[in-house]
Amino acid sequence: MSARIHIEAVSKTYPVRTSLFSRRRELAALRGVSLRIEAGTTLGLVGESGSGKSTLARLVMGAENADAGKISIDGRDVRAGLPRAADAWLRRTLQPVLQDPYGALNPRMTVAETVGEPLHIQRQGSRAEIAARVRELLELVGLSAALATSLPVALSGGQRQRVAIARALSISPRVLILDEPVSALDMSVQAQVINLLQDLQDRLGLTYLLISHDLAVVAHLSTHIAVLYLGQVVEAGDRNAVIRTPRHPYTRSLIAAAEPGGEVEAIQGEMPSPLAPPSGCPFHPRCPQAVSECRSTPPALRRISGTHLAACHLADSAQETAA
Amino acid sequence: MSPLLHVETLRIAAGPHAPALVDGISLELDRGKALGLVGESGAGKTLACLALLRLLPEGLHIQDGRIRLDGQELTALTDTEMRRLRGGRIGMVLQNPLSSLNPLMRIGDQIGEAFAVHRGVRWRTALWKLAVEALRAVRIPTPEQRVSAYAHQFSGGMRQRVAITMNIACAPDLLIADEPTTALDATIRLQVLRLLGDIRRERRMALILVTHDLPMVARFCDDVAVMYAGRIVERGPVEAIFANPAHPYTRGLIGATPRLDGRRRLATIAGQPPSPGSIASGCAFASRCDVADAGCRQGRIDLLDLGEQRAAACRKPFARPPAEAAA
Repeated sequence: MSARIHIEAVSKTYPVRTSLFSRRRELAALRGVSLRIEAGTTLGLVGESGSGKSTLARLVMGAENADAGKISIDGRDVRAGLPRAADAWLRRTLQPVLQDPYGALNPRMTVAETVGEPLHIQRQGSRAEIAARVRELLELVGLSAALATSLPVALSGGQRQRVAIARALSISPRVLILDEPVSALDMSVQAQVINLLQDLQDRLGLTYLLISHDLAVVAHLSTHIAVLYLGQVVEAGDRNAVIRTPRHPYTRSLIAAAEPGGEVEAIQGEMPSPLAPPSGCPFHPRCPQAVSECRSTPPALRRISGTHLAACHLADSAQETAA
Repeated sequence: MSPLLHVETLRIAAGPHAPALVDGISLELDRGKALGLVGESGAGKTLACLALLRLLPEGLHIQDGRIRLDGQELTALTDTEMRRLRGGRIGMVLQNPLSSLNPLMRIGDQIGEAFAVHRGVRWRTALWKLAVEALRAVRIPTPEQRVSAYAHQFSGGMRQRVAITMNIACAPDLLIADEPTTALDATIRLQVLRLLGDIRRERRMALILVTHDLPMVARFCDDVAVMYAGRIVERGPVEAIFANPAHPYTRGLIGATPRLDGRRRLATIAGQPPSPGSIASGCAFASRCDVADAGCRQGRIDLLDLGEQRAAACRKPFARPPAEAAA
């Protein structure tokens, strides 16, 4: 049921105008990102707004094409404008669950219609078979069958997100792209949906690409974590390695911001505009440890141990700080 | 010494017979202290704060209760007197800084407005000089250049700093911050919170931090008040409550918070928060509670003094469900 995703040296640039009369400029949203997600695991992507995490999700969904690099699922190419059969395969393999459970549902469609629609479109079964499958899906996501005839307006935020998840699961995809799946939910409901996502992965062997600005949510749900900064992966590895022994100063600052009582110094300033990325290491203007090498030479993403990677000139000396 | 802010049995509703959206809450806050007001959407946190400023939305009124700031009864003030108080002795910072900034005014003029209204400063050069100092105090780089910029030229974190500047320019006794960092990125959030903490200590300003982020309250507040369905269900010192919550709802919220240390399973609270007016009698949390019994569904359950400055509105404080107690 699961799938393996390869992202190889992917870059994406958007032309933008900063004002009506200025010349077009290039915004490098992703710069040579390589990641792999093993079947049945969860890769959590963390980064601030403008880091490129949503762009990467759009590329993996085949909503847009990369300018360079390659994305594949189980060895099959993912891109926009695939031939009809390959495109249908991609839609069946991968489904998104988005942040806003209010905007994601058609207000005029009942819960059962919403959940069953992808099955009708993909012509998977007769009316009766689809109705049975919808009942099964509602039970799977913990929604009472009594809600099948309700309209979204009658549902709470948590129930809507469950409907969105049931719909995404209707055609038995193997990969879910989870873009901020719980940020719009209240605290007590957020925990219910986090647990549901974990249960579904255990039961169905799904592969997740999880995008969130909330490191605690990412740490909780992910088996692997990648930290994006200005369109580049600055640290990646299995969850425990990244959270317990972070090697990049930016990762350490994110952990400090998420952990009560964390006493690592707060980094200064804000992420520079992707229109004018700094020279050398993209993080150097905010880095408390930056040395002259960081201002001139971009650090390569290199292996620290096992699968743990970090792009920092000082990653080795950082080991003592973290320990 | 009497507290700076003293709220007694504050009740907010659309009319005398309408269901209460804020149902008889009482609070005390000393000078220089920070109170975290936590709860889920619809719990009444924001309404309670708006009532302190007498800025309730059209149609909602303070039906009952008293609000005293430094001995002065706010519910008895005229609109003009109240206007002088807002931005003067009480400041308020909102979630979305863009909505509190005027897009057509230069930053220097907006900050200067506070000094013009509350301090009677007249000349623009004098106002801008004060604005530069105020911007420097919230650690905005190159404030001399920034005063002449417009809000859209600032990033989200800088806008929130400007909004904070405007609200603390006149050294208020009390600052109310309603989800001040929800719209900001993680590292910027930490910067803004530390800034608020520093200002509070430097100026002995009291702070009410409205949020749904428990780790943030644990880190930046002295006291916490947990709201549920328009009531305060638990309040007291942050450390004691997070170490050993008395109310099952507080315990549920703490258990439902994801942490970096990665436990595999989060504790959950069954069901959804109730809508206002849907609870006829008894504890509003009873239907979701794992230790409730028949007695919890009757009468009114008031805050019970637990000693050590703690109180909880629960008939069975500190109770744990049988499974958990055995473990």
